[in-house]
Amino acid sequence: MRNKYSVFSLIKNAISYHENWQRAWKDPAPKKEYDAIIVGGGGHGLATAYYLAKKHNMNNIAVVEKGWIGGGNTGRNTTIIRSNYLWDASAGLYDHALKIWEGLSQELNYNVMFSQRGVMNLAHNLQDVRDLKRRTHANRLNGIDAVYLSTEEVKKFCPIINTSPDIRYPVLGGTLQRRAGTARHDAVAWGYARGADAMGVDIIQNCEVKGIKRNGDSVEGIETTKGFIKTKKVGVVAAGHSSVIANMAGLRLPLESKPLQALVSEPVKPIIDTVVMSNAVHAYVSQSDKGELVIGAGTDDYVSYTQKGSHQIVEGTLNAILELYPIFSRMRMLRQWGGIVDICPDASPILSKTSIKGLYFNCGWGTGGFKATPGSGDLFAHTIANDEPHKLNAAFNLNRFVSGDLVDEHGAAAVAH
Amino acid sequence: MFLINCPYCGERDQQEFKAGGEAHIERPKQPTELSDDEWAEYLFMGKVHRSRSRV
Ligand SMILES: Cc1cc2nc3c(=O)[nH]c(=O)nc-3n(C[C@H](O)[C@H](O)[C@H](O)COP(=O)(O)OP(=O)(O)OC[C@H]3O[C@@H](n4cnc5c(N)ncnc54)[C@H](O)[C@@H]3O)c2cc1C
Repeated sequence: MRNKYSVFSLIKNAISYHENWQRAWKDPAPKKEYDAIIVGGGGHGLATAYYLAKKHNMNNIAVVEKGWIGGGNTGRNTTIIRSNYLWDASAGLYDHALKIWEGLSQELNYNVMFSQRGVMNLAHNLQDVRDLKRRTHANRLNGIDAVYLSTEEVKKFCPIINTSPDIRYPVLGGTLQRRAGTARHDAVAWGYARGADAMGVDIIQNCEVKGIKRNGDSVEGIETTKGFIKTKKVGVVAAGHSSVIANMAGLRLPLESKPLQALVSEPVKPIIDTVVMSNAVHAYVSQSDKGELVIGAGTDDYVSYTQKGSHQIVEGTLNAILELYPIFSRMRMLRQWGGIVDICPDASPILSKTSIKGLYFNCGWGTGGFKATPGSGDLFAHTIANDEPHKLNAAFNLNRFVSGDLVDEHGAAAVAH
Repeated sequence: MFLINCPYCGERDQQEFKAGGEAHIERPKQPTELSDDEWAEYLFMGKVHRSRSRV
């Protein structure tokens, strides 16, 4: 039985000095065989397992993670959540996720600290203005809340922004999605892990997948550092390492893996109560509940698997931040890190079957997949359980790179999220 | 900014020395004869995986 978290459990455990909390998930050794295995214990993989168990009654399944759960991009991202993408297919996909976010803490009985503080996207040149206006209209036609703001309205919404017309990248306007915001990244991984574990899912950490065993055109199992595990269905959710795993099965994916960086400052009193992003200057900023400024930078422009990123990228981002927010000029930065993001040619994800029976991929989220975590898990679980995509992820198949039906979201995704 | 001394053009930004990716991919010689699969291969399927990118 899984004990529920509540104010009463908090009081009860306080009396015993917090020494008797139940484990949030077990630490099992792999079984010989599962009905399905999810490779990658990030938010997307754990959510997939959760919905497989919850909605499709697949409880004899496992999540296999080479490190610790949430240690990949899930634990490295700047946690911006929004759904204001341009095309109908993307609007459907990202808004499906946003709707799940709105009730996620209750559903998981785990506080994911989802905060709908609004996300503002700035326009710095005439083309930005046109693109953002077009996107606002497209969003509204798809039932997604979006408004276009003038420079004065931007300033009113976030007074610390420098809107003077003589800066290098003046603020000409912006968009605002009020339902957008942030969430606590680790909590999302932990909440889904706890929920999946309670339904019988094995979460196996420190277990790296080394090979995918095929029998002709179907999957037979996976080779791991903890031995061979038999299964007929493998769902790969490995972000920056997706193509490495695809290679193990003899497949190739249209992905490029690159480092994307973020950094945080020392904690300060509340100064910015929303999220402000700027695609043109590759800088975005919000403030964590601890008070740190959370700043996102750009990707390195070459392929790499080193989880750090180049210095000149941070330099460029901080130049832009300082010009837009002169008030931050004396802030000290505490930490900087990188994550390997899997970028698709059309900046849209892949949630798809493959030419190998029983092998599914959920990847290509690149620089902006955290926001989609709950929806991605839900739709990928549907795809694995039924061996057919859900209508919301049908457009995000692998074949689009052959047919030409790309879902070009470079404008909405870019490097900012 | 990190400057690197180029023997031909003097001090240049580090960015200019970045690896350009798979520079050796050949454009199809007979584009009109390519199938959709071959186009996808040429345009999108990089050989990039976690190893040395040129051997
Ligand atoms: C700096 C940065 C900022 C970002 N900011 C945002 C943002 O603000 N908003 C947003 O929406 N998105 C953002 N993103 C993108 C977002 O983080 C990702 O798209 C998303 O978290 C991907 O989740 P995932 O579960 O698919 O991947 P991950 O969390 O990376 O999980 C994949 C897991 O697979 C495991 N794995 C890999 N290979 C193997 C193997 N062989 N065997 C077993 N396990 C393996 C890895 O260890 C990893 O834990 C950002 C990313 C970065 C790096």
